[in-house]
Amino acid sequence: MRKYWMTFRLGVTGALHYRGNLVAGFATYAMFILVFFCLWRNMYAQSDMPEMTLTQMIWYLCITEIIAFGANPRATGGVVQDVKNGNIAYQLLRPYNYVGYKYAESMGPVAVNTLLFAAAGSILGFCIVGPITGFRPWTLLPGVLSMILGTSLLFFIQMAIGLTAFFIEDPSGIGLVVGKAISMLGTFLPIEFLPAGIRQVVQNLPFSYVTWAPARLMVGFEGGLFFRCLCLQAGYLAAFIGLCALLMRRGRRAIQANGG
Amino acid sequence: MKHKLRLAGMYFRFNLASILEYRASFFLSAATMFFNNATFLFFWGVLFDRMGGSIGGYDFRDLMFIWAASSAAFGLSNIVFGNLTNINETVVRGELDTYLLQPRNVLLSLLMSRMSFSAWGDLAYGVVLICLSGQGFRGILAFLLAMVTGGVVLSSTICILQSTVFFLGDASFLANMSTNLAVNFTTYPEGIFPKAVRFLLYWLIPAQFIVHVPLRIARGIHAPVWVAAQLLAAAFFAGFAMWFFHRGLKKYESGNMLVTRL
Amino acid sequence: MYSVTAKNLTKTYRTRVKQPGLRAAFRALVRPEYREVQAVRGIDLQVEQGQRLAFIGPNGAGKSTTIKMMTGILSPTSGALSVLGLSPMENRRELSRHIGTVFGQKSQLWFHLPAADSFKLLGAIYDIDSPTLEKRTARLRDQFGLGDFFNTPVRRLSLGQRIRCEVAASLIHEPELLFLDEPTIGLDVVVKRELRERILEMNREKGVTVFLTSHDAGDIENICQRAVVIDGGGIVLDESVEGLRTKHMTVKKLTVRYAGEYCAATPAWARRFSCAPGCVVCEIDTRRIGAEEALGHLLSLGSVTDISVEDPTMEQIIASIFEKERA
Repeated sequence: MRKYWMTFRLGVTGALHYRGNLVAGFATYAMFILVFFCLWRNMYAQSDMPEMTLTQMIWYLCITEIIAFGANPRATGGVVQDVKNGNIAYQLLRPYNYVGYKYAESMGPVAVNTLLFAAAGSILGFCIVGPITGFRPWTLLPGVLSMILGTSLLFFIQMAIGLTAFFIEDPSGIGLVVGKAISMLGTFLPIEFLPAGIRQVVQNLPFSYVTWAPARLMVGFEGGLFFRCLCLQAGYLAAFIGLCALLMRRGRRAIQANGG
Repeated sequence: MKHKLRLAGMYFRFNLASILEYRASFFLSAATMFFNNATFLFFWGVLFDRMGGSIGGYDFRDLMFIWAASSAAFGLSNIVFGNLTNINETVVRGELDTYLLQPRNVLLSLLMSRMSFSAWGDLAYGVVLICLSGQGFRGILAFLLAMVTGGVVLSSTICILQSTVFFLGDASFLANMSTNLAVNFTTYPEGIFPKAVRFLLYWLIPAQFIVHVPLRIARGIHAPVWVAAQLLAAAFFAGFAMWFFHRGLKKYESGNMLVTRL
Repeated sequence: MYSVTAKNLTKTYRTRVKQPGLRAAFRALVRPEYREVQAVRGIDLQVEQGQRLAFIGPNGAGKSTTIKMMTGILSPTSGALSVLGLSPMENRRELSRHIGTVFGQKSQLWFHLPAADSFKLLGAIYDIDSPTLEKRTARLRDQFGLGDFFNTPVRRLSLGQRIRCEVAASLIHEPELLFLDEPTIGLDVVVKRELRERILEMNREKGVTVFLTSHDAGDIENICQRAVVIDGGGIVLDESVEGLRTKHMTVKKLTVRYAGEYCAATPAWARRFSCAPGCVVCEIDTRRIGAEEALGHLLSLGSVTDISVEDPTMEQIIASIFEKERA
């Protein structure tokens, strides 16, 4: 476990080295939120939305964008490179689990960025719309748990896509489609706002459980919803970890057969 | 001038030749970008549907216009100036040296020595969308104006944001976001913004001169005045971007930013 | 007439200090620390037109920084610098028409295009009119033997083929001064020799001044007349290559393998001598005994299966220079 912890800490240190980038990142994040605020304020002024109040909506977006900006491990590209240039063959020789190592490595920067963006996002949320009426602070805890699961799920989805590079020429197309599904089915818009038919399908797919579930739980906690989200997140997480393991096993065999 | 054009033509020709070298990769990049842009239509479709067809004073056809103009302007910029989004990386890696060793304008050589594959997807999306949006003759002309002059404004904005690398040492986050910043503000109805922000969108992130002013021209609101303003803005931003880049280049030449690689 | 004149040339960088550890990383986020680094400190150098100069030193000695100043990429912090009578910073574009550069690690060719296309592009970049360009391209192609792969995309070429194209490309605008930074790195012996001959030919025919850095002692011996050694940003030795050879490149390493097991005591003429079963490795000082004579001794010891003679590495030569400078 110690080696993974060291890798994690190295990642944390690395993420802090680029001060200018962090500041610029906050600025961009703030600008995204402000544009969304303008958009939704305009629409709430035009008609009522029974699903959420404007305050809840803005906090919802602050949280999903934290994940999109800070907690995005962007794991696919690195893995595809490792597979394509044959580095993975050497990585496999080392005494650690490749997928586990990559997970520890990317969670370092993810943790730092999430904390920093969460701080920025909280200030921003309070400044624009203030606190949510009737908010119970303890409901943050299940929200944070859901966020950790969501970020991990995102990592293993990206990892699985990256590992398909063993078998297909260029997985970046799949990566893009999945990335889009995650942004369109939860990041920009709570899935409650989707047409009923689409929502029925979407709430059983993994994509909304990266950003929608944690943000939805933080802005409006419901016990039943929490239980449902937790089960689905854990289930999909297990499924994608399994998929990664399977792809690794098949990939290793492909390397042994073709000599990398 | 003649020499400049000869070189520009040469770069364009050889960049096209490189597409033929990597046909499969080219089609994949262009197609994925086309798809990427198309998904946003889903988002806006859902919203317009809910709001009864009007958001911030724009109807769905207006929204299609600004999306088409924005994509086409971005596409054209990155086809002609394919290294636009790589300025930061080129400088950080010290690869600007190659251009400094040539008897040419550093910025132009740098920008033109590559062509973005995915940008062809953006351009194609813009053209397809404007055709689908059912614009009249005036609308098509305004679209073409946006594509060219808006493209100049957009290129200049990205160039300025990327050139901050000379002052920051490594501006990769700002550089990565430069595209997002420039493109995102051009894809929302102008009316959602408060007056002050709308004013900033003329100068700070000049989204007005990429899509909103051309839309006014398409709608025929004070068209001649806005055409003149659009042309002046394009000249101004291009000039400013060149000045800013060369200002930063002086800092590169004096070597203060090589430190990150020591 | 001098191609390069440098007086008290100095370059100072300001670098961001990165302390190790998590806490320091947080602190640097708030208050970054800076430190000044003198990369080049007071270099005086004059290079005559048509001279072939080797500019050598360990990694980080300031070689690249000096070359970057001479080519106008970096401005000196202080001191005077004139290259082909021009100031590199003020007249960079004018200067670039008269100098050629080859950086072994960086390519000026377009990776995905055939070298032929790169030559056309470079022709446009240097404003060479078409008939002249065609003539020069044809000559360089024949001279460097690029004919077989001139129309193959550069990314499919071997390293040796690529470097030949690189050097030829750097000559397309007929420069008066050629900067070569590690041109032979990674090349095999035949290609190296070929390349060295071409460089000498350019120097002989067109009077091109050659400014070369290399870690390969063979490059320096075979191409250059004069060697300038720098370390820690300053010149420690300025000497003819002939002088360098007699004073500092005197050690040769001989390895001889024998058919049977063989071992002997250290002979008086060897600097170092080590025996393993069937193999003798010995170092000789060529001022005391010629390689031929030493080999003669070794050959007479038994039935020989393999022989190799190695020159000292650049690191050994530099170490020898430092030893003697200190003494």
